[in-house]
Amino acid sequence: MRLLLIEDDEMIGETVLESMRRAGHAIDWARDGRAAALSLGNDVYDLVLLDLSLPKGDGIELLKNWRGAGGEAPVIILTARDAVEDRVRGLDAGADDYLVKPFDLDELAARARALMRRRAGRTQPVFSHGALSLDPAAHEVLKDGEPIALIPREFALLHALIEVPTRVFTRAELEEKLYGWGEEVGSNTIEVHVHSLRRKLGADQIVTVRGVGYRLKRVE
Amino acid sequence: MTSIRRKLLGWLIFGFGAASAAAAYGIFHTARNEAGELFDYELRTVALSLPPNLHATMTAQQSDAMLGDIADDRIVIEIWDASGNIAYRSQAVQTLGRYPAGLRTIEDNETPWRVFGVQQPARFVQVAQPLSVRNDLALTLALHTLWPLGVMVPAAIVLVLFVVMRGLAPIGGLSRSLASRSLDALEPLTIDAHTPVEVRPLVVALNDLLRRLHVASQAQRMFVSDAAHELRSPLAALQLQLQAAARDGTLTGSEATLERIQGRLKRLIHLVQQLLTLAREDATAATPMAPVSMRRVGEHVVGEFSLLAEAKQIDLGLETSAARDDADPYIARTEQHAVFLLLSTLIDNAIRYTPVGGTVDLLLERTGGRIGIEVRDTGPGIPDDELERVFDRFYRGAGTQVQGSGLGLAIAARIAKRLGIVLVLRNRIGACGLSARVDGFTPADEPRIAQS
Repeated sequence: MRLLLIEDDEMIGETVLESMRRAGHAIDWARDGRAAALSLGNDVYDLVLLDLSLPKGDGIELLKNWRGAGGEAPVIILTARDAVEDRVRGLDAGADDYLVKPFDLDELAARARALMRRRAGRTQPVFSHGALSLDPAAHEVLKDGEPIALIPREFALLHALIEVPTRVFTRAELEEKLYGWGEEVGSNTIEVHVHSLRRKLGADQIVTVRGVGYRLKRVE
Repeated sequence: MTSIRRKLLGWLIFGFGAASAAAAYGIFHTARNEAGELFDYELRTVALSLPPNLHATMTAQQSDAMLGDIADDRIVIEIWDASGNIAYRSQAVQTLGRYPAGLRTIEDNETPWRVFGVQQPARFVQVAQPLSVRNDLALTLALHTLWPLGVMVPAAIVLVLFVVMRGLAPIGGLSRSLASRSLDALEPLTIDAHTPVEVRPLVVALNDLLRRLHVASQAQRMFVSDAAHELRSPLAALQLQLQAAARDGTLTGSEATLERIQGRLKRLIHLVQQLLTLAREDATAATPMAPVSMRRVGEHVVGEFSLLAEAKQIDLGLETSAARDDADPYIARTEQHAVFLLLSTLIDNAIRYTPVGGTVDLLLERTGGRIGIEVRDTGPGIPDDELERVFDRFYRGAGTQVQGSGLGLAIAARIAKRLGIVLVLRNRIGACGLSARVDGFTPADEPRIAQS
């Protein structure tokens, strides 16, 4: 994978460059707006990491111009600007993700992987969380490598939860994912499915967040 | 304390009262003198107009009938004939000696009299009146001339009060408009057609001061914001370097030391983040309000902190009271991001201070038509004498072992102020722990927005 890092800060640039190289990626580094525009013009990159405040050119303008000229590679904005308006402006200009400094190296790597996966067209990856894994394509759930038989609604429920395992889903959100428009939903249907899922996966796998909803248990 | 109003009122009322007293004294004396002259005239008229047929033998009744009202004024008449014998005496008992002709004041038996004597062809007539009677009458007369003054004085005092109040109203208005300002409102005072010329220089000077203050505070906010912002890049670089080095093994040392360094760095990053949030809150003046579902925000905040709570084995949950139904959205007019930030700060604090195995509740309430939120924990609470001080920037409770920036509650208080709501901390009664209440959200019931 070939990356382009657009960053004027030497300290950050060096570290990102080094760790991405170590991870086996080819990475180029543009230190200002003009160099960045030239590099982007080559259109050989699979992923662009873009800092917004640049000498010789504003990051947002650069991104807009490049997208306008047909640039398609996914872009992650790395910036110290964290106001909501800045995020919206960045995403509107054509960025795919937005990371605020100081960010975590692991998080950057994870987001880069997610973007590459989306780009590769694998819209249905295998999800895994702790001892659990769920393969949407094969319609298969494993716990510690052992297959577990689930009925479709239980599978859909686990699918929803494991997609973003750190997130708490409200009952209403889960109902929306499990039932179509106009389908009659009993008042405690979600509870029933959670109960049977817990019976099959182990009671501690699904955590009840009092007054809000459910999520998967925390994994170190 | 010097007060223009008190001074004005004092001088005006005192001055007016003194002037009125002097005038009253003058009027009273003039009236009395005039009355004296009138009485003298009466005495003279009586003496000159006495009928020539008055005899000593006439009874009092007879003479009374002849003399009419004169007796009322206690006038004493004595007539001597040419030979010097008493010819007539109006009263049997009282006698005054014979005095020379003309007007004079005499004393008889310690009673002062006014006497008028006149020599007529065949007799000498002497008319006398006690001065006390004259004085009484003169006093009554003088008092009668004084009553308009008596009415005028209170009326004038009321007028003075009114005029002084009216005259000083612009100053009162100015101080009220200054007093009702929030601490951060530095926009200039308005000068319009109603501003009196005398107050104008004061307003102009104040506006100049406000402008300079505004520039200074703006510069300070910019500095804090810029500093926090500029700190981010080196911190990011440091964190990345540390992580990269820890991963590829170029940093050798004990695992525990590395972890501790990471912890300290995280704390530094948190502090910078809080500083920036506070600077941003300080710079935000007005808030566009919109209907916000408090339940949605509450669910979001609890969801965000759910993992952190689980890591500390704390039972974090959302509770509702006075809900209209199971899905009551608790909609209020406010600003979503700010409420989220405020609740995050409170929940973050609650989780930090609650020991392992404790409980943290986010409680949505409706009281008196208003929506309130309470964050309750089972931590140690805050000593009563520190409850106010914990809102101060960088204040950390005495003996606090928990790590934190000391800015969280300052940020929360700042947001509450901006949103026009009240944030109160108190120790829970009947249970250990702290209760942070946010009250005063105005409900906005728009079911369409509740479902969108």
